[in-house]
Amino acid sequence: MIRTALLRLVLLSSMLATSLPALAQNILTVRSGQDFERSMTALKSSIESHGYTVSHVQRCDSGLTGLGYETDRYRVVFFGKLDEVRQLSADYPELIPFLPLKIALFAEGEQTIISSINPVSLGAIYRDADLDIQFRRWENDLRSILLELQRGAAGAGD
Amino acid sequence: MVCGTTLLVYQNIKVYLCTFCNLPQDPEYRRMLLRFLAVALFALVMSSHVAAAPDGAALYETHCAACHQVSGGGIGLPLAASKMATVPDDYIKLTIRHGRVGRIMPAFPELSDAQVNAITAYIRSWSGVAGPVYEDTPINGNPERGKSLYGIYCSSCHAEDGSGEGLGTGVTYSRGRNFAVMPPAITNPGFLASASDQMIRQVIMLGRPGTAMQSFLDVGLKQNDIDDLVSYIRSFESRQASVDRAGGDTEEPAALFFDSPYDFDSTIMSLKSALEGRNFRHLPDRHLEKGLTGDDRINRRQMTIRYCNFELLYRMMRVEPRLGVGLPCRITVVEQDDGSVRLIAMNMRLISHLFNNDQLRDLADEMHEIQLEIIDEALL
Repeated sequence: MIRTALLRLVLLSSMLATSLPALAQNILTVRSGQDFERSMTALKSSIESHGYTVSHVQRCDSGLTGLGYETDRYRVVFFGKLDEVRQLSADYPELIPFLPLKIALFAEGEQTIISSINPVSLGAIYRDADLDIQFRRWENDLRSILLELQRGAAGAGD
Repeated sequence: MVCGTTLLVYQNIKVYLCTFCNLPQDPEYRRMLLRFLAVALFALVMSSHVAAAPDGAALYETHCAACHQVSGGGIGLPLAASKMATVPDDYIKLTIRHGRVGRIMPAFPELSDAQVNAITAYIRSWSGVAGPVYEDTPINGNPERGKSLYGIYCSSCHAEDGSGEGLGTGVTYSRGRNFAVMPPAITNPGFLASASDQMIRQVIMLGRPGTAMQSFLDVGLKQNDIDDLVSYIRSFESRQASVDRAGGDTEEPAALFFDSPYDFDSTIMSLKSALEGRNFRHLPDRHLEKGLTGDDRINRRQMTIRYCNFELLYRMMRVEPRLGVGLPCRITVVEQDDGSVRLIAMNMRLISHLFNNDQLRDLADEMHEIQLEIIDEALL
């Protein structure tokens, strides 16, 4: 528990010190030096350690390859918090297309690209102060998750 | 610019404190404490920025490596030393600043000059060789003649309209490519704002090692031919949108709403029927909350209908491999408290804006139209 809190504090400090100027990015993307399978395991672990539940994983590659299109391994991981999804979908139904949250990951050789929409980029569209705080909270979590993946900090099941 | 960034940092710290810290309820005390904490944290953050010289490697890892790897390329252009040998530092710095308007490469106006310099120095450190330095002198060739030469020598790679080899950018994952490095869109305002006339001339004269760009002196062009080509390429500048057009707000709504005249179950049936008629593969339906809690607790009046046209998906992923972050082919059917039913879908037109990718626009528009037709048919 304390270790997790300390890790998050370190990650937050690191983000504040090095990455604050990048807040305007619409799409958050990192590269993991780990292969696809390890990154997938690490991603699920990191999502859960941030208090979210992985609701399902959608395979995008099988449908494509099944029809003869060339593609590497590609998954989209859906995750969220029940209370959050329930409350927000009731109060802000226009958010439903973005719920639960999603992170896409795909193989690039022996490495993996992990990507997510930056929720803060939606702030300019919704223009709602309460949602801005929610978007900021999600952004912090997403950045922290992606940073863990980038640095190989999350358990990858060695 | 520095003031803007500073204010942004300060505001973000305040939002963070409001969001994550349990502050006391007394408004006056809360305001004072909030101000004190924000100022203290702000001072800490800014002092770290001021005191430490920017770390080029760390900045590269944060801002560039996801697409460019370390000299290997991927979503972004490979930055191997051999490929960078013919471009000056200014070209790299301005490319970081302006990006490529409407392509995947974003602009980084928020980075300080010191940070941009540090990233550039880091890229240069891979070879240990300084970049070339070119004069600023403009080249005054004959653009009309250059246009003819362009059609003969350049258009087969850079396209007749100068838009590059084709869709996408860099050597994107899992796609067959004609070139190890994509010929750049030389009409792009970001490119034209970054490349000087002298740099373009040198590249045409000497080529770019490690790419398909060959020396056109070897091909037989003379100095004045190349000057004419440079002037023709520069003439694209007047026909293109400004480099400042990148990014910006959009008036597009994020979601589209449609009222259904049917009840919840009938709406779902009708929607599925409309999807089948459009040659979409229908994926298993999912309640919005499914997987977040036990099946006995989920809200059963929010059903997401999922579908896919793999041909269109593939075309879109060729242009933007990260498209999965949006996964737009979903329509959620929601029964409201009063029994009325609504369909809610992502606005496809938002996609090209989010990705800074004009090439997605036509495909997103196509998808948007198909989606509207499906919904129209479902709600007839």
